Amino acid sequence: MPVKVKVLYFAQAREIIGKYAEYFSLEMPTTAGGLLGRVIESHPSLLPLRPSLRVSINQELAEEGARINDGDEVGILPPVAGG
Amino acid sequence: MTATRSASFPQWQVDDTKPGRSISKGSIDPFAVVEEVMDDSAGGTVVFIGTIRNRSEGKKVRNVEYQVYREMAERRMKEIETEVKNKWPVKKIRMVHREGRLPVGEVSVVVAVSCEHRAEAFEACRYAIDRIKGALPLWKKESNAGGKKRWVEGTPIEA
Repeated sequence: MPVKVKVLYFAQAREIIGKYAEYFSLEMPTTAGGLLGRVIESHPSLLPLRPSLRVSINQELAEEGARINDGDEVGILPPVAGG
Repeated sequence: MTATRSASFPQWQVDDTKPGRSISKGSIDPFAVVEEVMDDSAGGTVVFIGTIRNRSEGKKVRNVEYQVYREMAERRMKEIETEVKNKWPVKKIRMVHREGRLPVGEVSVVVAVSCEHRAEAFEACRYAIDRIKGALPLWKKESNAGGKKRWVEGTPIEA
């Protein structure tokens, strides 16, 4: 049963991909790590950033093994610099 | 009580009507933030004011742009507030971070904390700004005097 999620891009990831966000259709079950892999497959120029990228699911930081569900909002978060 | 406001800081404008928001698109008035946390039961109020520096990595900075994952940042600010209140006997705490393009000298972040005594107020304020730097989904793009832009090197977002 396919799952549809909205993926948000920030900072360098947004610039590299050229989009604020896009939808992905995935087969269940899938994890945050799995989705990140799919995103990178779609946008290979993101690969050098991969070790420092983190994933959020519905605005909570997620481990790579965290489960993605239909309708989730996923954030692709490059290293942060605030303050 | 009323504090004297410095003429050099503009009025705090928040571009939405919801009170207590932690991410501001408009200028932050640090004195207004301090006023919010001052309390008759607090003997010590500490404020951290972050501003845009004129130099970075040896180059002259023209402006800095903060990109923010707003909903997640607001949520995390609330979590940081809870963390601080769990660790120290804080009377009031208020934290605000800017979003958007800021010139040199502009206030980028304010953390104000009031406690009964100064030791806790200093520690709590320090902890809060350190957490803001490590745990908020914010990204900083620097424009230097030559017109070059670069994403400021950050750290992977903390839990």
